[in-house]
Amino acid sequence: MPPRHETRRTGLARAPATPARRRRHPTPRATPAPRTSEARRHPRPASLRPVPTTGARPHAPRALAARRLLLLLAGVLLALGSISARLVQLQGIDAERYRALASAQRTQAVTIPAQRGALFDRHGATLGLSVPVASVYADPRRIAAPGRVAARLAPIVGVDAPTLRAALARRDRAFVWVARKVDAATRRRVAAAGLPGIGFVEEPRRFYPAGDLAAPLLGFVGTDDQGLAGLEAAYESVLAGRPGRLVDEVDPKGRVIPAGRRVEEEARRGSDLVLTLDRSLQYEVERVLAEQVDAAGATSGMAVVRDVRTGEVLAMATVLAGNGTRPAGPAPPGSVNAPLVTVFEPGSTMKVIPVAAALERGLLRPDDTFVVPDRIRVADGVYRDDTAHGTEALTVRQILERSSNVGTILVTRRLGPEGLDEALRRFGLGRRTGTGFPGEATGIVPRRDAYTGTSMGSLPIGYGVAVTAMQLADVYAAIGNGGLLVPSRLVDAVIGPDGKRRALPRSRPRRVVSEPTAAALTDMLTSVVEEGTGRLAAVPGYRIAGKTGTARKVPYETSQRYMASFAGFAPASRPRYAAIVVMEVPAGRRYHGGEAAAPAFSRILAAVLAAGRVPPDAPVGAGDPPHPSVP
Amino acid sequence: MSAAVAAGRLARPSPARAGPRLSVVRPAGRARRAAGARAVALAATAALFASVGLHALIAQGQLTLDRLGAARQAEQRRYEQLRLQVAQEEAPATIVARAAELGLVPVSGRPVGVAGYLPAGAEGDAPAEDPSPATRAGAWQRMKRHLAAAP
Repeated sequence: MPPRHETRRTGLARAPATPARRRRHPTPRATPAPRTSEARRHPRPASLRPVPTTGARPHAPRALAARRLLLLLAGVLLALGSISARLVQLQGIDAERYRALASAQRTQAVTIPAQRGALFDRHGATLGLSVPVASVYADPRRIAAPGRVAARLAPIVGVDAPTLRAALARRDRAFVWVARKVDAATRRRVAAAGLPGIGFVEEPRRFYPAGDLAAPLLGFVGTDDQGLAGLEAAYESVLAGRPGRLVDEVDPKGRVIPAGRRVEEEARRGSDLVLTLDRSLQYEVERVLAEQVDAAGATSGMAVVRDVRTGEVLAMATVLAGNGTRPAGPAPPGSVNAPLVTVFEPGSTMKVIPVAAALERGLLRPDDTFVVPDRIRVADGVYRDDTAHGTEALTVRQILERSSNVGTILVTRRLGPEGLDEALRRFGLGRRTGTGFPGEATGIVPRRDAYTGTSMGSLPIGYGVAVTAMQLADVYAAIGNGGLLVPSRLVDAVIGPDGKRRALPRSRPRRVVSEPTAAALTDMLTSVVEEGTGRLAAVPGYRIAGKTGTARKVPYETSQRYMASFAGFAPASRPRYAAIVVMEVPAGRRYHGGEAAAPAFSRILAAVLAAGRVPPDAPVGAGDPPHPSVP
Repeated sequence: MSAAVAAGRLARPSPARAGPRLSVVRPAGRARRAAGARAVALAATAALFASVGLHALIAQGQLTLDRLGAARQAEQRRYEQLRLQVAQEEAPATIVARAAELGLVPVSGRPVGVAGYLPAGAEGDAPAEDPSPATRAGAWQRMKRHLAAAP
């Protein structure tokens, strides 16, 4: 027997092999070990002992036990397999999903809205900006008496009490909006009420400080400050910025753990847009146009002023008629930006195009004379001049001065259909002007192969073709710019979050007619204002070039509704600005462009030329009443 | 051997086995270990307090940061509000309304001519390659240069 201390040191004392140990580690053998007691013979309880039956095979209990063991093993393996499979699913296949679920349970993510960029005019005056204001929310889980809270809160925030009560009663939700973007006074009143479960979050709200000024052009934003119309929508990617995110670890009650994990992604402010508009001019154009809409009894009016050299649009106005309770005024937000979206048959303002094309091709000289009756048949249509007259010999200048339909058709015959089609497209009709404004119309210019017999009668005088006011302004701007068409622009530059100003790329100018042709046309168009139908477009001190337009709206046979327009540029000696004024459905007998639109054109150009500090180019007192002067 | 003999052997050690008188001494290694343990405990306690203090400082700093952040946000909000207010005050419609309140009337629409202006194309006219609007000072120089020689 080993010493006692050795046994303690090793902790193990080798025990002699006993029959009991051998039973725990049975080894196959031919004969069973001798058993000395009842317990050794029957190691299992009596209830589990196989009952010997008469005639049963001696190995039946052992086989049964083996089968049971196998079944048990299979069950265990199945259970382990299932657990393993589930483990693989949880930890491998669906790991990301469960990780996200776990993260969502213990974290709280708050989106930090990016501040939307501002809109500036060409001089930096603010036209639109976002300012953070409070929105009211509720946590229904913390509101014990939704009815009482709703009754107190509803009149303050101006929402329907039953609706609010229903929202506050939703105990399964932790957040419901009560009122979005309330003003400071409302916020103070809600805070003073001290209602449980009511809180505030700050959200940016879009403001247009000048009210409805250029509203259809600027567009508007939705509740979540996303651009929905106008330039707000067109430049959404520039203005919107990138929202940030704040992720905090929270406890089971949703409270932020002070020393918990926090991930903060800072919001990136949107860029500012610098428009080409001049806020003061825009206001003046809208004011004049509104007065003219009232004076002419028109249903609406539109106007565009642009720089002939740079293509910058200084003003773009849409005015709606009054409705008895209010006078005519700028179209409200959400209205159609008519100068770019509305198409109309231009009437006589179109005549400059076939004349320009004929001059450009050498098919016509300014002093050419045409024998012009007061009506002419083209295919199965008869076209008349506005006023009856006998057959006259008219120069091209006189044809434009008098706005003779017949004379223009005769000029266009020299040009031919192909020449006319090419001229219309060269001046940019039938395609967008390139401003990028959403919903800008292309206009309608029939394909050459779609010309009918009367096309050569209708198209030269502005029927059978539809244009936007912007397209027509571009046509006259090109003539005023020596035949070089500089595409119109509404946005000049972008100011990034870093404060750096980056000019937007400009479209390439394209020549539509030569300089001599443009000069000849300018001379003729000046005569229109000084001697012809456009006298009311004159601006004292300046030489104005332009053309009147009057087009009957469809159906031509029965309609007494007209589109009256005047398009031109000034000063004629060195053009700086082109403009167009269109009056829709002027009332009464004064529906001609020279009466309904030209006066507004005159006032607008006067304001524009004064604002641009453009020196007068006409002798003082030459045909005009003397005007005040300063030494 | 009897018990008495055995007891005598135990009571009187033999001279050959006599040595220095023994006393119970503290093992040097154990003392060092105890001192080390005390130092570690002290350091751990100090570290614990330092950690708590540092944590308090961090928490205080975070509070200050939050307070400054809130103040910055409030100032930013105030700036935005003032910016909006300025933009609203200088809007043309506001100015016109205020002018009307003060008794001013709209101009007739006729531009004011300048005696002695230079005809277009003459010296002093806006250069063709300068499409930008003239400044007020620039316009004065161009349009009233004849006054420059005046006393």
